[in-house]
Amino acid sequence: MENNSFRCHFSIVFENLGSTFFTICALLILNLDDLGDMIKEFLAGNVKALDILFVFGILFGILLLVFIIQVVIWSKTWISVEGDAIVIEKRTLNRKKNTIGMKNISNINMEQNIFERIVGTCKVKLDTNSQSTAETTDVKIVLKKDKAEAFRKQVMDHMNADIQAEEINEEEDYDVSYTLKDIVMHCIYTASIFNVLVLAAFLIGAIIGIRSISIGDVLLNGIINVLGSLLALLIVLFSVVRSLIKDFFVYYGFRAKRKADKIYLSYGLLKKRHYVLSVDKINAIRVVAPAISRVFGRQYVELVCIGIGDEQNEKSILLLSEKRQDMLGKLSVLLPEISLEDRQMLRRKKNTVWHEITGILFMFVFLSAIVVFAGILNVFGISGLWGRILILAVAVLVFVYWLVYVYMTFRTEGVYVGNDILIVSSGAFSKRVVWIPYQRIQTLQYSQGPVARHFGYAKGIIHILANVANSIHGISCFDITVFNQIQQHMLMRNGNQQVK
Amino acid sequence: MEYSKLSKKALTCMYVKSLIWFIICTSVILLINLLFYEEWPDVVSIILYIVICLHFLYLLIAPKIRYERYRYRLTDEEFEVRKGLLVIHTAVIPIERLHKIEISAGPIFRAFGLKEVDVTTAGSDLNVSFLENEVADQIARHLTKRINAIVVEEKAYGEQ
Repeated sequence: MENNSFRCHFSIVFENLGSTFFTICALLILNLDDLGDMIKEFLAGNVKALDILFVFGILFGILLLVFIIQVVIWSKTWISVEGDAIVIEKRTLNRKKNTIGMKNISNINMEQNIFERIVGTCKVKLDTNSQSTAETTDVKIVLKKDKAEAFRKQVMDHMNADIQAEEINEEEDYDVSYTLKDIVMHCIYTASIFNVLVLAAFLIGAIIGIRSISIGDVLLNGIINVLGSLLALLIVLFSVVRSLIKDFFVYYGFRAKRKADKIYLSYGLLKKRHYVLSVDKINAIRVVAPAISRVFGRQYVELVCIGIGDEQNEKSILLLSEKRQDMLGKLSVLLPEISLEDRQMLRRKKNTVWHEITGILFMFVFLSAIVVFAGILNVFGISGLWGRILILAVAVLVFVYWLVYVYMTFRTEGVYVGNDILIVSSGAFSKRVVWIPYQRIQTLQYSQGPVARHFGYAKGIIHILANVANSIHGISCFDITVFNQIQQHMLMRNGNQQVK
Repeated sequence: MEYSKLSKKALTCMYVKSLIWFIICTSVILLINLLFYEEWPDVVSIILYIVICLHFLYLLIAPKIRYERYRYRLTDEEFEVRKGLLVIHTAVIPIERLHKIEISAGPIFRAFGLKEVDVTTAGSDLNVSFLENEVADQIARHLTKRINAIVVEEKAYGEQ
């Protein structure tokens, strides 16, 4: 192999082995009863030691086999920088050579999980500006931290030859940073209402349960059964609490900096992430106000681009939840090119709402009729007057919820067709406002059913270059002229030259 | 610029495609009914026959409406397609965003001398079917030519 070629750090073998190891551990834990029985049988002399060794031997053999495969893959995978391209060559049974032009790289990020921090390595992640690989990171390379930083600098220098990338030190001042209190506030204000309600219900249920439980009940039902129920409840509580505090670990120490044409982001408690993103690769900006944030007038900012937010459960946050004025001040430092000042949004026509309400009313009458017939025919176990009343009450509640939902949608949805930017506001209880420059719109699609044609409105979607979750942005029922205007603006090129 | 409509051959092709689909669906429904009619209440068989009748009605009406509504517009800057039955869908792609142009023709299309053109951008794609061979090739040529011209224009603009 040539001198300028290098391999990933050997620790990648253990990282890749980790999932197999945890799968085997999970299998053992799930079959703890069988293992216990086997050991009892062994102690009773019914099972030979050889049989137990055989079972563990198979598990160890699988682990060893995966280890050998990972070592072979590691030893046969070489990375090299050839001119303006990064070449990753796998010389395993399935030979593969992946060449990536450095000019096409949209961002280069560094990540460190706990294992990597112990070993002193770093994961360098490269993403190209391509829809076909938008859902995954194109290249992941694990290197010693100093080598990883040198490699990142080398790639960044090639990403834009005109503007040489400057490294920023950990100690250097960032333009935007958040205190511990800010991060906790972000977690509280962006929490899902559903999770908060589940948590509240759990706490109320737990208090009532503890007050009503007696020693006699515990003895009667058996301690094991009571503990089992408690464990099941604790698992539910853990998953809810985990989703509430997850963002704290993810966005701990959140900092952002603008230098030349790049934005530097750094955050994470257990897994440290360092992102470098070229400003010209940002395809849209999204301002999000989840339901709780909306009540308190707070919002956070997300970037829509390739490279950030394409990993599982990853968001592409630029600014954490805060008051609008604070957000605008920070954004003017990080992205002075984009002004998120309030614009006069065009609201939906009232007749579009009546159309939706008529649809819901029709659905309600239809479902109610089914319930009444079900009661008459005594199907689905619905019988008696009270049973039917209960189901109708649930149906009324659902109907009222839908009415409120439609009203909130009407209040939230809006569109602004500016000269150089399109703003689309969507949501019901939460609010998402996306700012898209026309040059970034790939396709405009809109449709009109018979009723929409009669009233002169249409529904549409626009596609932009991003991962699947962020590539499609819906535009609700608006006058057909709105879509014609968007179409006109999409066809303007080079800023102000309308070529149609 | 005015919208272009499909040729008469496209209407015949639409009818043939719908007819083939009708024959397949009807055969499956009749086969299922034949196998299970003894176990089912009569009302199920009646519903299945109604479905077949409605599908036949759809076969008679839908291709004609689709044909009348199907139109496309190709200018120097955009490619626009409008199609649908009850709901009319419009899709617009600026030509400068195009990444890939693909022309294809299945056996039924080949029998009628028709092709379909698929254009892909970085964010989505657009399909125009039932185009005559010459028209499809002409569209592909026009798009390729325009993409090249736009690249030259963009370069010139960048140098200014």
